[in-house]
Amino acid sequence: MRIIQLLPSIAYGDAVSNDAMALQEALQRKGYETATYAENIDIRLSEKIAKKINKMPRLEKEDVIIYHMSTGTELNYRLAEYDARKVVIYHNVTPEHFFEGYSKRLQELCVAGIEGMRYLADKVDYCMADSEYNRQDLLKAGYGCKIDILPILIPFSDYKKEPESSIIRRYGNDGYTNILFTGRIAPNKKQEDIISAFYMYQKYYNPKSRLFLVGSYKGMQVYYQRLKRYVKELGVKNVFFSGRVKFEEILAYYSIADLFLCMSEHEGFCVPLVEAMCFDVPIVAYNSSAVGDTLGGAGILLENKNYLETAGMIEYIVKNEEIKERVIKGQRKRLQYFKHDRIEKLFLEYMNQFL
Amino acid sequence: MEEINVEEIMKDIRDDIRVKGYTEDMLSFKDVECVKDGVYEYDQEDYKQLLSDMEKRKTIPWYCELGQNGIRKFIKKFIRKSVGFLIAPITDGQNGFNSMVTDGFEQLAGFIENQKEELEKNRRYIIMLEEKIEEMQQEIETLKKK
Repeated sequence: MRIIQLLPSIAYGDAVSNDAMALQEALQRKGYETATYAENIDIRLSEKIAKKINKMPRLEKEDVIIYHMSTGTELNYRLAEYDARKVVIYHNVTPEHFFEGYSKRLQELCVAGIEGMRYLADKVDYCMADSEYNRQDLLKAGYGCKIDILPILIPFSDYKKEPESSIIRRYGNDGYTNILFTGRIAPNKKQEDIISAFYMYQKYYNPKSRLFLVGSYKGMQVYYQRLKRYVKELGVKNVFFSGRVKFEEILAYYSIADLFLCMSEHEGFCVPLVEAMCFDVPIVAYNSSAVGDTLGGAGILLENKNYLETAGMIEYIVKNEEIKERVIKGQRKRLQYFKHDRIEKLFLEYMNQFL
Repeated sequence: MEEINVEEIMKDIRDDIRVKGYTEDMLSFKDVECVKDGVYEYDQEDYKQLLSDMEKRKTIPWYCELGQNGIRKFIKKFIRKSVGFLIAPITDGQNGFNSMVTDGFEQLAGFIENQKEELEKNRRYIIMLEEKIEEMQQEIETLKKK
């Protein structure tokens, strides 16, 4: 019996790819015959990690395909044709309306992704969802098979690497309050709302503050340019867009951050929240999609999107050491839930039960 | 987990906002025009970053490092040597082209800067001329009155 992982694209720094790579390691350690296949492979990845899908061997009935579903691709349809047992790990598909006016191509991709997800509803044998929110999505789409929740497997040992020192030298410990959000520049992540809340914070509470929006804007230039225009027209100072950064740079941004602010309106899991927990950065987040599931009672979850109140909350946490400590303590506790060994064990247990 | 009563904190924050008279008046993102798909605005910082990235990546080595050891590495090394005479000139050609493109972009950066200076010079000149015209118009008006 072989366990094959299948995904449309595999690349460095992408949450779904990282999850697939971590699961592959877990399966290999357990002694399973396993391999990962993808349509598009980052050239920096060796063949040991992933191979092109056309190199996939002929599968037998007892073999298992674990398919990572996150976007619109032909694979959503091809999966049904394989003569093997099928497992879906659902990372969620962003609703297309977020991309309206920014990218027709992405809108179409999202529509195709949701159609593909619905198409597979009665064609797979078992599902794992990153969060309860994702599980609900599958149920709504008519999935009748067993669905377990498996948070993304995060290799926390990587976060112990040396952060990029130039960023720490430039922005660390200089009397400024650094607010951070990491993640692709994308309309569903609502970076404009982060900017609005930060504007209020800088205007009323703390002019000596910075906002770092760390993440690539590739494919989202129209939205990115609109955000930049917004920053300019608002007249808000010290808003930095990092663009695509190296992993060591991300670590540096977490190291200098005083608070992590998330105003996203669509997340299937939101790895950056767990990363912020890992770096003891207090989190303030708007309660939407899977954000509440991932926080699991940790951090500060806001029920309303009010920029002024959010700014007030930032000030309250940054200035109040006691509450900050309590938030961090809660986050540390929550982080235990996502511990690599625990999630890996959970995954292997789920697989055992399925097999 | 020790629960933090967010609503209670929020109540204090709302009271504080009310007392201090803070208001949420601000430009809405909805009022910011969206550029057309595929039309990029010039941003000096982004452009500098692009130039720096291009400079770092313009040279592609004709071979790639071979990680693993043993027979696979030996075979790959053999293949690399065997096709080197074909690949090296192609990457050389590509690197030459990349260099030209990078140089072109750098020249464009210089051109943009020159144009900006020129525009600024012209802007100041126009202001000066407008002031002169205004002075002369005033003089004409005074002369007319006489």
